[in-house]
Amino acid sequence: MRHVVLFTFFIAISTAASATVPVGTIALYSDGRVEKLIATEEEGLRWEDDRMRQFLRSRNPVMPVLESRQLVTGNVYFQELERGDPEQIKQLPLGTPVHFSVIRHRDGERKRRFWKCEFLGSVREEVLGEPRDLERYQCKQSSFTRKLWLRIRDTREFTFSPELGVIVSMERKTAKGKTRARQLVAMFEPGEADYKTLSRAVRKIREK
Amino acid sequence: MNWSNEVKLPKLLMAFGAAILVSGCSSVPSVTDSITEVKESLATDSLPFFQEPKKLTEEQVTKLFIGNTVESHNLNTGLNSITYYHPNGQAVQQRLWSQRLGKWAIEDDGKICLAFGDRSMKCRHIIKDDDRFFKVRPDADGNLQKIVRYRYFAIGNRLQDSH
Repeated sequence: MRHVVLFTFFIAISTAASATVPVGTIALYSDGRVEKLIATEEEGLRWEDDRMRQFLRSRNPVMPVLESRQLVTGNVYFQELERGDPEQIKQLPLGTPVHFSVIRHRDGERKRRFWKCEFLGSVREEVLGEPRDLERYQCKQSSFTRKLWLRIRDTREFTFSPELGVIVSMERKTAKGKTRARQLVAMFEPGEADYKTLSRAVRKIREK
Repeated sequence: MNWSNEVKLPKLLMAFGAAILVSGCSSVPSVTDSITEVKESLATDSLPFFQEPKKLTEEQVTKLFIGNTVESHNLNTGLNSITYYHPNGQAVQQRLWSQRLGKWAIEDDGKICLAFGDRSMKCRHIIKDDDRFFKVRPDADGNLQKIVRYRYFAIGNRLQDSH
C-alpha cells in the first residue's frame, strides 16, 4: 500500500473510536479535489466541494454516496440500501465478501447497482504526518446490461481512516480500463486556513 | 481584493440592471431558454471549420449572466468560482467558501466587466466555442486566449444556499 505523502499542514484529531473531524474541516486531495465538512447527520457526514456539490456519505466506507446534491444545477440523486448488510463486512472472516444492492433515485428514475466488497485488513501508516490505523477495502460495482448480463462497472481499492472518518487513498478502475487515483494530502481545521492559504494549496495541486 | 464577508457595497448601480428590476423578475426568461437562444443565434454549422468562435453581443451576454448564478473554472489557476450577477449591478462571488462583493457592467461591444473590492474593472469578451462558453483575452499576438470556462448558468442567486 502506498504511503500517503504529506505537506506541512497538520490537524489535532480526537482519538475516540467513532471519531470524525469537526464540522468546518477542509480536506484536500492529490487530484485537486477539495471538500469541506458542512454537517454531521444521523445517516452520515455531509461534505461540500468548491463547486457547491454536496455529498452525504455513510460512516461505513463501503456504502456508496447516500445523497448527491448540486446546489448550482439543482441536480439531486439519492441512493438507498435495497438488499444485503454492508455493516457485516468487518465481522466476516478476512477476505469474505459482502454482497448488497443499492437503488439510485434520480429524476424519478430508479437504477439498481450491485456491490461486492471485501475487508482486506488493517494497516498502520502515516497519514497527515501521524501514524494512523487504517482499514483496507476492495469493492466492485456491477449492473445488469440490457441483455441481462451482469457487468462490472468499476473496481475500487481504498484505505479508510476511522479516526478521520474519510477515505485517505483510493484507486478506481473502470470497465474500460481507465484508472483514477487520489490521496488525502492535507486537512485544515475549521478556521485554520484563510482564503489565501487555501487557494495557494489548491492552486499548487491543480496547476500541475 | 478583499476576500471577506464585510466588503463594502459598490456605489455604482447600472441603469440596465435597474430597468430589469423595475420590470419585475417574472419577466426574466428561464436560463435554459436564454442559453438555447444564445446558442442558436451563434450556430456555426454552416461556417468553415477555420472560422473563429463568435464573440457574444451585449444582448446575448445579458441573457446569459444577469440575474443568474454562474459557475466558472479558471483555466490558468484551476480555481472554481460561483458568481451571482444581481440585476442591480452588484456581483457576489464565492471561491473556496469565501465570498466577496463586486460590481459588473456590460459594454456595447458585448464585453463583460467585473471588479471586486478596490480593483478596477476588467472587461473581456465572451465567446462560444464547440457548445461551450469562455471568457477570452487577447494574447501578445492579438489572438484570443481562453481564460475562463463557464460550466453552468442557473436562475437566481444560488449562493444563498451556500455554507
